[in-house]
Amino acid sequence: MDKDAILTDIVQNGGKENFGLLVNKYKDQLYSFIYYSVKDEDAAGDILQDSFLKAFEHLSEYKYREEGKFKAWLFTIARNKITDHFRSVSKIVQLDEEDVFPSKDNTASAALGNISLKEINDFILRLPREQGEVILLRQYLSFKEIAAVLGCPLGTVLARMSRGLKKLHQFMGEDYAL
Amino acid sequence: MHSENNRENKSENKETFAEGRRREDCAQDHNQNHSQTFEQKALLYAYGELPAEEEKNFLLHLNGCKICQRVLFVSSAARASLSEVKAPAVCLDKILLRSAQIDAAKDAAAQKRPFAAWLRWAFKGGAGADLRPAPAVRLTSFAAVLAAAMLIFAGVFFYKGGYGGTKGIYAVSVSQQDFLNSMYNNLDSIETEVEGLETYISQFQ
Repeated sequence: MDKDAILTDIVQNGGKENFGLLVNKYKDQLYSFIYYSVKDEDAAGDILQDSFLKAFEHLSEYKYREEGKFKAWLFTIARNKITDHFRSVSKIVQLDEEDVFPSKDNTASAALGNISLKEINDFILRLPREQGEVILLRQYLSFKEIAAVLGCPLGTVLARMSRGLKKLHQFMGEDYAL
Repeated sequence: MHSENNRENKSENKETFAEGRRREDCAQDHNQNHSQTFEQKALLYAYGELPAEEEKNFLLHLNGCKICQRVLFVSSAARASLSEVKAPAVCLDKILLRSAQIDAAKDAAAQKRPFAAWLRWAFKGGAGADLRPAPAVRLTSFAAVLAAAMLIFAGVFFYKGGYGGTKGIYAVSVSQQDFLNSMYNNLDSIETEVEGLETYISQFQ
């Protein structure tokens, strides 16, 4: 039984104060994921709080059935909240290839090595959602856990990751640093 | 001079050609045999999830494979660019406060509704009390509903044929009934035999 499982057990059996330990453990990771997904500090803070609150409610109402997968479950809640957020503000914009890839000038400058981590970061945020999401999630979860969060097979997760990285590389320039 | 340039160009071309072939071979290797497998292995390796027993083979492959090298390079760049962002000093107090509010609301609701709605309607006061009919009317109608329910139950009970038999509420199936009947018949015949024996024995006493 891992530490999370013990803590969730305690919270479910009335030790509500111990939920704070889980919050402190995961808040930065979860916030980073949410922040990079919604690109808005205020909204990210709200979603973070809502996610923890929902997790807490589920735990106190004995609706939590994911023993040993608390982290993945928490990220699933956050992901659903992010989807709700996009729905509510109608921000879902399907970027087509021309939007995703920068102009040839940028590609050229990237190939010359003038690319910064900030630019790479920006580009990840502009990838199609399902690809960018996998790259983001892999910062905090294993591929198996991501498959559980997204509800798809491991192969699909790896394929999305691979496609995302390919696009990222196209942005950086084909021969960049190889 | 001119010939030297030509030679250099040729050697460059050879190298480019060899590099091209290598890439082509590698790409073919990827496309035809294990393209997805190797890319997936590269991803797993980049994030430390490739099983140890597969690592050696993958590293041998990686040495000559630009595609897998690219996967490793780009994934490390992506990782480096996504540094962790500190969460604002949220939320724990708010969460605990909210949970306390939820608990309080639940307790209040439980205290407010000690009876089911129809019992409250029949016997107790509460919201909408002024709209309800007089207590006598309410009790009469409650008794009427209760009597109707009992009549329906009794009707079903007697229609089903009481407790036992093949139709009653504790009914047995036809085959079970046959079996029981044959058992009763056997018992009867055994009793008759026992009585006969008793008569026979009594003659000698």
